[in-house]
Parts: sequence; structure tokens; C-alpha cells
Amino acid sequence: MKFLRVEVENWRPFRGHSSMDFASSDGRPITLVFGKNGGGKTSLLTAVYWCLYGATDLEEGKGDQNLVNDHAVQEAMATKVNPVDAVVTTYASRPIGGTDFLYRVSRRKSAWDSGGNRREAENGLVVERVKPHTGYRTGDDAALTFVQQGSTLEKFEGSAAKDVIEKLIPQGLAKYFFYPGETLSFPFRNDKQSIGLLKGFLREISGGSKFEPFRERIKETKKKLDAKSKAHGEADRATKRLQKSIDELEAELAKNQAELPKVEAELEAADDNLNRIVRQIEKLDALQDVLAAAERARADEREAQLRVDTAEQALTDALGGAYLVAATPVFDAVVDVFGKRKYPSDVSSSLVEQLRESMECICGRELTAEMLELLEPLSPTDDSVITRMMTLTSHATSLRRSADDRVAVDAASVGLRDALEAKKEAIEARADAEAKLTEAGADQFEQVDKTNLVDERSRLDGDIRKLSQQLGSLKQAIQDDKVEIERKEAEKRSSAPKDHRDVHRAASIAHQMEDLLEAIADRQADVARTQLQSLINENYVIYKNNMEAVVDADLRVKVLDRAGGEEIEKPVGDISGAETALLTYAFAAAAAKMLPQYQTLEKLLTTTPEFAKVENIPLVVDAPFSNLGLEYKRRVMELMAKGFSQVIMFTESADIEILEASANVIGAEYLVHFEGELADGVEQTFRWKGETYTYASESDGAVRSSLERIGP
Amino acid sequence: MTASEESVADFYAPVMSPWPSEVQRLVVRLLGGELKQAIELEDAIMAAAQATADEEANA
Repeated sequence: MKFLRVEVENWRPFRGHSSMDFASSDGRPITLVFGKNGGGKTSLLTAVYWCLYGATDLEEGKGDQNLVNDHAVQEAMATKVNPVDAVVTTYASRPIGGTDFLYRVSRRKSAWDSGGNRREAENGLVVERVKPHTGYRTGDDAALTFVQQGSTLEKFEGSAAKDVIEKLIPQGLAKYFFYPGETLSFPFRNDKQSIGLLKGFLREISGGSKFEPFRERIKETKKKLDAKSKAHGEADRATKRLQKSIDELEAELAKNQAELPKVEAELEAADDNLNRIVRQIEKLDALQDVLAAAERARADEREAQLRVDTAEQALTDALGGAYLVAATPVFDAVVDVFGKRKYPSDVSSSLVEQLRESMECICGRELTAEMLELLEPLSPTDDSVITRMMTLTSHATSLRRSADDRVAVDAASVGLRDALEAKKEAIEARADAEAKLTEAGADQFEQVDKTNLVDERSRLDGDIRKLSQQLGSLKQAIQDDKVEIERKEAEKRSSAPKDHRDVHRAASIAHQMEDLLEAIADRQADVARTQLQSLINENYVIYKNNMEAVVDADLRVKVLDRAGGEEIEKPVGDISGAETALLTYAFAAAAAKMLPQYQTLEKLLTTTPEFAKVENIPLVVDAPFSNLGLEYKRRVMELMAKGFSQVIMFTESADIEILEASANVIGAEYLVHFEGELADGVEQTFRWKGETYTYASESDGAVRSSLERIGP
Repeated sequence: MTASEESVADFYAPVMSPWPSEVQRLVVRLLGGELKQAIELEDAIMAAAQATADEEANA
């Protein structure tokens, strides 16, 4: 792009309207602006910068205030015609794809009287763009108007206007092409600020600053993903804790469930036992009656026996009374017989039977049996024995029939018969009771102690109570476990992120993306640095033979002097201001050469890539020659003409000779006139191409500047 | 890939090669202007992470 024209109105020392057309042809790229220091040269230089970017910070120590011309403000305040505006309008052209675009950028600042105090504020930026560039013409007020035949006019304001300017000359790059008087040495002091500036240039030229928005977005996204990842990590840990707790609960549940049937079986067994014992006790209770009945029957029987015994005794007594009289001769005979032991061997059995019966009557059955036993070995053949026995028998028979005893015997016999009958009944009753006992299973209970049974029952009752409680607790615990497991499972389901693995991965991807962007930016800056190093050196050598500038990887500059035949490194502190200025031009020329390769992401990616391509930026430089020697001045002029597409040069008259010598590359010459106090109070004149020009005239306390085109 | 994405990918191929392909793709899409908003970028990163996880799961 090239600047075509700047118009200033009420801009700093320029009262009213002034304009300047810049040289823009390829063969004559230089615009020269002559002016004494303090007369408004720098104000013009900064006018262009301010118009584009709304800032004047190129000039050290001068802020944005008091940009509106003092005379105009004072007049407005005096006449109460407020506000008064400073307006700077810059025209530029730019070829895009074979078509020339014309830009007009206009920025305005208003000043007004606020209770006797002066106030200023920016008041609008407008950018107009015409395609194709069909020219402009001077209007009635000396301002230009576009010639719009067949052209498209686009108008931009606010941030859209800023965007258009940014594509015309990115502000980040512009400062490396605008050099007000005090800044010529700024890139090469090898201090932090200089190195920072060079780094800034590399970042700009390589498109690094274009990465910032991307980096910001990645950073923002990374932050979000990190936060998510952290939250998911916490949720993961919480889920793991929940799972652990669920596992423990499930283990407890399984244990309780395994325990349950055991307790149930124990309880069932205890229950069965209890039932058995209860049945036994019931049986025992039922048996008590049968046992009592049997006992009573036995007692009855014993009583009947007693009665029989008594009756027998009575009978014996009755019999005894009768026998007592007649028994003696029988006993005597028996004693006699037995005493003699003469017992006939052939005594008939009937006879013995008769004897036995008689003896029984007398002696009773037992004694008789005993006696008969004694008699057995005796021989019954003895007649006397037989006779005696016959007698005995006869006595016995008569005894039995003794009439006197008969009543008592009969009565005793009846008593005995009754007693025997009663006994018989008692025996039957006892047998019956004993049969019932057998039927009731009394034999099974012979060894059973009811007390033990009752003790056993109460023990079992206790056991069953305990087991029931245990079973209840177990069931409750199982139920509680199930509920707690379900609750924790639900909590786990609700809190557990499904895609936590992806979130962690996403966070890691975002980190890597940031690193990759950084690497791309670094790589770009590195490529640019290599290019810059070589170009600075190349351009510096042009200025001064035998001296070489080397820029190292840390962007520190070394100047190597080979004038004496050997290479001597000159410390930066030993480099003169003029030499530093040369270095700055070398840098600016290198920067200008790098512009066509200005590879920004925006150039690659923008939707309007034609506007993103920055092919050249004019060099705007104040006091370009400093205290350079004649030879250097010539070389500077050569470089200006060759190294830049357009140069706007502000200078004092001291450089006239060299400038006149380079007149063939100068396309426009302006003189800044001014009225007012000069610092040295001396009127200045200078000659240019045979003409004499005067700087200052009347002094009224404030500078009034104006522009005069003096050639070509 | 769009033309601008292709040009980005080609231009930065040497410096991109050490990074995983999903990171490269995302950066190209980001620089290519496809992922215009931060939220789209977040979604795209999440989707890439998901896709990689799926690939690993299937492998």
C-alpha cells in the first residue's frame, strides 16, 4: 500500500485546513518535508499514525491530549462556538488482485469549553473504500472528494473501520516503519526493551500475534475441560468410594443371607424339640390319672389280701378252736409214727391222701407237706403204722365234723369266701388298671423325670426366644442392607459421569493443542528470525564496508569491524548514534523485504485473503541523517529509494546537499511554514534548488504552521 | 477438509508431525476457522476424545 495524501484540520499547530500529497510513483518514492524543529514536522508524522490508530504514543512524552489546535480552541471558547474539531484524513491506495483500491480514513477529535476548562474527546472514525480507484478531485473547501464513476464505495465505522485499517497496515507492524526523531536507535540497544521490540516484530511478521485469539480460546476451553476433568476425577473417586461401600454391604448381605437358613434350621429344631417336650409333658400329665388309678387298684388289692388274710386267720382260728381239743392224740400219733420212722412201704396212696388231708386240717398245708416229706422214706407196710394212720384218719375226720366248731368254721369259711371273692375283684381291677397303664405307655415313662422335662422346656423357650430375636435381627439387617445397597447404587448412578474417561482425554487434548499452537508460533518466529538475521546483515553491509552486523539467536546485535584487517567486535555501547541509525534502517529494510512473505494465519485462513496480504508499508522517518557523514547520507538515500516502496522523510535544511544530489528519487517536496516563537529566536532561511525559503515571521506566543509544496 | 484447512495442514505439516493426529486435526480445524466459538471447540475436543476412546475400545 501507499499513502496518497494527508489532510489536517485544526491539528496541533496547523490552524484551519492543510494537506500534503505524498510521492507514490515507483521511480520517485520519496516525499521530503522540510521544517525547523518545533515547527510541526513531527505533528504531521504523528497525524498519519493517529489517523490510523487513534494513538500518538510514537512520540515519547506526548499523550493524546491537546490535539486540537490551540488557536482554534481559544477562538471557539472566546466566541462560545463549541465544540471545535481536529480532523485528520489519510488517503491510501492498495493494489489487490490487479485492481487498485482507494482508502480514505478520517478520524476526528472534538474540543470544548467545560466551565472554563478545555476538554477533548475522540469523535468518530470513518473508513471509505472505493474499488476500483478512479481518483479524486479537489472540492471547494480544498478537501478531496472521490470520483466514483463505475466504482463501488464501501463505508466502515467503529470496529469495522478498525478491522479494515488493521488489514491495510497492521498496527503491530506499523511501529517498525514509523520513526519519530527520538526513536531511531530503539531496536538495537541490546537491552530488554530493544530485544522485546525485535521479538515483537518477529511475532508480528510471522503471524504469531494472530495466534493469540486461538490461544485464548484454547486456554479458555482447556480451563473448562480441566475443571470438568477435575470434577469428574472427584466424581470417580466418590463412585469408587460408593462402590467399595456397596461391595462391603454386599459381602455383609451375603454373610447374613448364608447365616439366615442356619438360624432358621436351629430355630426349627428347637421348635421341634419344644413340641416334643410339650407333648411328653402333656402325656405325663395325662398318665398321672392312669397311674393313680393303678395305684389305687394295687392298694385295693393289697387291702383285699389283708381281708383274705384276716378271713383265713378267722377260719384258722375257728378251725383252731375245734382242733385244739382233738388234735393232741393226732399229734401224738403222728409224732409217734414219725418218731418211730416205721412207715409201711405199701401204704396205699389213698390212705396217704387221707392222712395228708387230715394233717392239713390240723397242721396246715405247709407243715403237712414237710411231714409227708419226712414220711416218705418210711415203709407203709407196717401194720401198726397203717393202723395208727387209720386211727388218725378216723380222728381227723371226726375232728372236722365236730359240730360245735362247725358254725364258727362255716362263718369263717363264708368270711374267707367273701374275702376271696373281694380279692378276686381287686385282682381284676388291679389287672385292668395295669393294662391301662401299659396301654398309656407307662413303661416308657418309667425313667422320665417331669422336672427335667419342665426345665428343658423353659430352656428351649429361652433358646427359641433368642433364636427368634436373632432371626428377626438377621432379616432386618438383610432388609437394611438391601435398602442401603439400592440407595448407594442410585447415588452412584446419579453421580457417576458416564464419559469421565473422555473428559480426561479431552483435557489432555486441549493441553496438547495449546502446545502445538505454541510450537507453530515458535517455529514461525524462528523462521522469521533466521530471515531477519540474514537481511539485517545484508543491509548493514551495504551502508558501511568492512563492518558487519550479526544478530544472534537471542536477538542481540554484534557489530564486527574488519577495517583493520582483523575482525573486532564492537560493543553496542561503542556504536555511535549514527551507526545505530544505520542499523535501524537495515532492520527496517529487512522488515520491508520480509513483508511479502508475511505469512499470517489470517492470510492463510481469512475469508478475504486478498485484504490480508500486506505487501509493503511506507517508511516514515524523522531526521533520517542524524549526524551521519556525507558518504553515509548518500547511501541512506540509495537505500531509501531501493529498499522501500514509499518513504516519507521529515528533515531539517542541514541535509540539503545530499538531498539535492538525490533529487531524481524525490517525488514531492514540502516546506512546513510556521509563525511564532522559535526556540533559538533566530529567523531561519535555507536554499533549495536555487530558491531561498524563510521559516519564521511574527511571534505571537503560539506556533501557527502551514504547508507549502515546493516541488517537484 | 476445506481448502483453507488443507493449506494450514500443508503449511504447518513439519511442526505438527510429532503430535497425535486428533490434536493435529483439531488445530487445523481451529485455525481453518471451522471451530468459531469456544463452545464449538469444547464440543469438538470432547467428540475427538470420545472417538479416540471408541477406537481404542473397538481395537
